[in-house]
Amino acid sequence: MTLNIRSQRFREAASGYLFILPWIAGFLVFILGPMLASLYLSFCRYDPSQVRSGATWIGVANYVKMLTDDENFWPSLRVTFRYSIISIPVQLLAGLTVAILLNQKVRGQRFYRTCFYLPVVLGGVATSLIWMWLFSPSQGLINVGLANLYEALGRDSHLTHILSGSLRAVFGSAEDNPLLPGWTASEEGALNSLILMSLWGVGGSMIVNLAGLQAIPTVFYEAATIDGAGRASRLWHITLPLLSPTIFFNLVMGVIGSFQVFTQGFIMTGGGPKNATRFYVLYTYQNGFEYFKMGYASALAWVLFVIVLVFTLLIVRSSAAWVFYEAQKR
Amino acid sequence: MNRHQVLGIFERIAIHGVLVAAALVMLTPLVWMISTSLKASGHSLSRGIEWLPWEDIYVSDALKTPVIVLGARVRNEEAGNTIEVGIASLRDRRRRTEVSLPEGRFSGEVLEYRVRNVSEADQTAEAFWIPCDQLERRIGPRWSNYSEALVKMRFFSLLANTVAITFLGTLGTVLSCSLVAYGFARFRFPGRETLFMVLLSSMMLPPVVTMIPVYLIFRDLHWIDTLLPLFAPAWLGTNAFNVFLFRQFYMTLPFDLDDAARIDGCSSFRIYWSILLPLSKPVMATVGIFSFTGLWLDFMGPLIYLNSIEKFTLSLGLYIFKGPYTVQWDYLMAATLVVSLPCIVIFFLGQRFFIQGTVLSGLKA
Repeated sequence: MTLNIRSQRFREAASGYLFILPWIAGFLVFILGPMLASLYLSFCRYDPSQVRSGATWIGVANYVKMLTDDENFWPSLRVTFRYSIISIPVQLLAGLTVAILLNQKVRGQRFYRTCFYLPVVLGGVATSLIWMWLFSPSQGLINVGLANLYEALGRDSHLTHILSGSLRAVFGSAEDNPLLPGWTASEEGALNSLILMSLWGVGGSMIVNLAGLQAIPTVFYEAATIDGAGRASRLWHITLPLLSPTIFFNLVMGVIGSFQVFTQGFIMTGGGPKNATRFYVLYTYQNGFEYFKMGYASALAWVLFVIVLVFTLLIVRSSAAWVFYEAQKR
Repeated sequence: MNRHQVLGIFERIAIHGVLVAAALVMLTPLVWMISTSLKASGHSLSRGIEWLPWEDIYVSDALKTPVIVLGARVRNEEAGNTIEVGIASLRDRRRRTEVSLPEGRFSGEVLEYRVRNVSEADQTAEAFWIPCDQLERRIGPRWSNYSEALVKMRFFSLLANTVAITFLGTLGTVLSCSLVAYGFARFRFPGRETLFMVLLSSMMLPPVVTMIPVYLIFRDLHWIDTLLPLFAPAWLGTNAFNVFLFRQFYMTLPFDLDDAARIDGCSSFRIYWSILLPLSKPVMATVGIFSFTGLWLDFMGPLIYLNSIEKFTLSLGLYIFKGPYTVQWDYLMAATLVVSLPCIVIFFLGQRFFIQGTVLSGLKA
């Protein structure tokens, strides 16, 4: 009898392993193996453009070079950090605001939701191309519109100066027109323009927030209202705490995603002007597949991995202080 | 109406105001893409914003030829002289119009327009002058932009590649992820929880970390410049999120289903294939849609693995079509729209599943 049960257990386990076998194989071949291989390569010189040369162990030389002798490493890291530090909070706030507005039981909620989500399904390439056209300094919709606006206001009017001055402070100046912003064509404005563009994809976090909001039981709000809680107090004491797991998720995904920005920089600006948008992953790609320095590119990739890991862990650690899970009421 | 109700109405109006404004901002780039795609190239140079695809027509005798207006000769009545200006300085195509030059603005009378034939794609086509009253305007969407752009970007060859990758990859994802999820959801085996945690945490891994060794694997398999690297990994359940979605769904199905089938002599595989899989259609739709759009829009994969133009996918083709320097925006916007169209259509058809999937991804946190 015990033998029977044991053999039954064994058979169940064997079937289980058999069914997850594709994933185990995939994990070993495409994730764990490559991770270890790229860790190993990061300590090697490996430039396969030179007649199938093998990898040569060079110790920590790649890492030393990165920190001390690579004029592009720190700038690309800085660009990526600046992008993340600005775009993540802005995205979070925008996604939250739109979701809260939509959750006010407005009529046409579905229509608005579709409008906000539609840009997300276009993907990176189409988005980049459309915005290149919008950002074009001399013919783009935005600058043509601004030029018309300034003319309507009067080219020398106070309002024009304030508006044009503040836009150019953030988005750089166009080469051939003193009043218009230069967007992705200007060194000062390129990164901020891409951050602005990233707001077009706010629909993704909005949808998640909206679902989180709809999961909050209305009785909480009713009870709070009876107790005399105002709007701000309901937002602060009910909505935000109960939505904090969703915000936490958006934050983690935002960190992981924004550190990996590639397509916009590659397509729209090619990393320029003057490295202003040479994102870290773009630089890693260039090392690996344009300069064929695969050892060095692996080292760059591992540094990114560690950075993302540290940030994710910090956020997870901090979550105990600000993320509220109903299951563990204190 | 009491004070409260009045405030409520104002609040509604304010909320709708904000939402309408924001929705317009979201839709404007799309509308502008469509509008550009229907205009004659070079038309976009004019100064005013024209949302509709207006066409300039040169009428001579009974012949009507579409033209691009390049500039005009305008009489400045205040100064009493006649000057030549570029089209970008004119406010509109009226006879009396406002001209803005770097030195300032004036209102003048257009005497002649400088135009060139639109049919000649060549930007250097000879320009000629026509009298002001022989220029007509009408709304004329240039549908030919689409056919010309598609031919130029070798659309159908790119489409075939993209469809092959998308179809095979999606099929592989749905089958392998549901199979793996079945293993995790329905069988007890040592290390199951640990392995599942490993699977979940692999979602957090930046793909750039594995990018180079995976490339080397495919190089040694001689799969570079084939479509295989772009869909083959999907057959091994490598998309952890999809496995997670299937597993969560299977967990909600009663075990009685399996037991009853087993008593009837069903094998474990039969239970998966004939009972659980057919029940999981909503998840299949969600996973399928996500996988479809992911593969259709993938850019970095094709960029790394494909070298020859016959193997390119649509998103890579769009990038190449843009070209390094000059951009013909009307063609590029037409091509962009066509390439994005399947994703837009799928989004509208399967909005429910789409949103469900995004939402589930958020709620697991």
